[in-house]
Amino acid sequence: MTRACAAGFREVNNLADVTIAADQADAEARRAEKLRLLMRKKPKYIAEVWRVFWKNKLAVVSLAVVLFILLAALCAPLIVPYSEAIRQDVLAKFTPPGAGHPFGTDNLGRDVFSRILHGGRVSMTMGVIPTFASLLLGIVFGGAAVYCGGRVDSVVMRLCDMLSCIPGVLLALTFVAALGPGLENVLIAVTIASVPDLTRYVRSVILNIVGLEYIDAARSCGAGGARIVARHVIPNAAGPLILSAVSNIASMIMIGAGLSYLGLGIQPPNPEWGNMLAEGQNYFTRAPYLMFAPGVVILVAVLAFNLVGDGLRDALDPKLR
Amino acid sequence: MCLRFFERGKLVSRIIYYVLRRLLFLIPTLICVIFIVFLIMALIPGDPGRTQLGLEAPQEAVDMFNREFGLDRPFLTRFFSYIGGIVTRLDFGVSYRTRSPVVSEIAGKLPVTFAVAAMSVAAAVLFGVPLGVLSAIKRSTLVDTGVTVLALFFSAIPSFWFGLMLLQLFSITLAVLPSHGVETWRGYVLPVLALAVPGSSGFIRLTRVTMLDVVHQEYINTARAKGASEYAVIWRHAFRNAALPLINGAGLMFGALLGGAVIIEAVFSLPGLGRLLVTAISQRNMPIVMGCTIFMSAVFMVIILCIDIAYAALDPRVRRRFSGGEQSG
Repeated sequence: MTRACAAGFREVNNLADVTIAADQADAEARRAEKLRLLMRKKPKYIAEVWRVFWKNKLAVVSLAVVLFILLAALCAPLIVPYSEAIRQDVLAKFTPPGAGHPFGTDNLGRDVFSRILHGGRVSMTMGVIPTFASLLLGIVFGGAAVYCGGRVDSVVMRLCDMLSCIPGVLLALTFVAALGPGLENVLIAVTIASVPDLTRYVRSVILNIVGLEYIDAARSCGAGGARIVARHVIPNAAGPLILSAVSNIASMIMIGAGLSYLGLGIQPPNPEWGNMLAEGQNYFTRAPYLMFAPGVVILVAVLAFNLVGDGLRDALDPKLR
Repeated sequence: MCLRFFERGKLVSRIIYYVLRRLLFLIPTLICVIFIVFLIMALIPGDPGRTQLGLEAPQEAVDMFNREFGLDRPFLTRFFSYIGGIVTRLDFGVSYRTRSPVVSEIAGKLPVTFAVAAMSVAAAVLFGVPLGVLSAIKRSTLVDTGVTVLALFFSAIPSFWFGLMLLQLFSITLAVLPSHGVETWRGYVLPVLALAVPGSSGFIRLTRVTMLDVVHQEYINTARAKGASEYAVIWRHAFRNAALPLINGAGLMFGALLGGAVIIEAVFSLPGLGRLLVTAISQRNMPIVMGCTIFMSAVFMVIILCIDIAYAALDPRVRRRFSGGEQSG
């Protein structure tokens, strides 16, 4: 009797063990499924954005142009050695565009095509580096303003107000005046000049996200600050911030070319699209093509970045999706 | 009638009070801007006297130069005496090169820059707004697409390159307009065109967006139902409500042109503030650089103030806030 009883107990116990084990396996499977869904969620979002972007053929073509320009800038030394861009050949000066020199040669007999190619490296640097540097600083300051709130917030914002009383290009020029002309100094100047606006932008983007209800929901579920920032704020802020970066690159290329045109950027004989225009200007009765090529390249680059930005904005806009 | 007059007087006095308060607030802001400019100038590596006089200059000459311009004094002393000079005598220091007061240098160049900036903004508005309105009322047609593409191209044209191309076409090939200087009005045509055409793209887009927002609202249907002509509906009802952001855009473009027209002034060799600034930068003539920056920032702040006042004066919602809700009924 007792033995039977004990056996029965053991059986029940075993059964319970099995049930618990099954429950655990089930829970584990569910957790894995959830994790898989979570892992899938992000690629799905990107795929969705990409799908909308892909429908905008103009934006896709522009993206191809942008990638082409960036690739050309990256691979310039592999296509034509840098020495070709600054090698003077006085006998061949003012050769019109033709077989040996697709874009002709300038007043010192330098090949305009190689100069455009290598100048593109500088122009792209001026577009990309200040954009990302100032975005990073904007994220640091804007994020700090929101995260710390209170006094830090108002100090950061008042500083931004003060700095944006000076028109942007003027602020950059003042920095160049203090630091002296040159590529690095222009990069620093342009970066600092665009930090105030970006800080304000980042702050407003983050404030918008933090104000949303699901952040409250996450917090009430016991999510800590770091988790909210990593899982909710950063993924949601990424779209608008990338968008602003893409549109910013276009205006940075323009400003950079303008500063180089004034002779404040990279110094001769190094080529850059802006300073090529300035050099070509002196000879435009004799060789109008010297001004044509750099101008068209700037136009195409700025247009392509703008169009990619527009396409991205539409793709990121949930109302249009 | 009498009451209304009284209320209007009250409204005006409130606006005057607001303007005065804002003007008063400009002073500390400006002092901070001057401080920032001073800080930036403190970044200059090396001795300013040495930079001006060259490496070969004897040390006594450098010291004398620094003493003459008060550069041997500590940072804060210089800052406060600079502020003091501005407040008491409108004195922004003297140029390193010509030894003439910065104020007179700036004043000599100011009219050209102002004229170019104002005319460019006006031309950009006159060109951009009708195109934007047209694009909005012909939405999703060929006209709309054409205008949008045009705006895209304009926004990507570098203004200085466009200026160079205009120069090429009108001054060299056709020889109908002067290539430099502003002795006659004809000298202004090309620079204004070079700034206005790329500038108009912003107005085209802005007008299109704001008009599209407005034309779908109920009161536009009401106006149509009342039998107002299409012209009246568009310009009197819709555009008046879409115009406020344009004032903002025009003001900001004017401010940006004060600094950004630098390059166009170089292209057309205009004797403006921008050229003064660029020359000063290449000569490291810091009093001029500081004077130009501070002056243009002050103008920019006044423009922003004017935009706010225009908003207050034109937008009934803002106006009501000033009259404390008396007009709401």
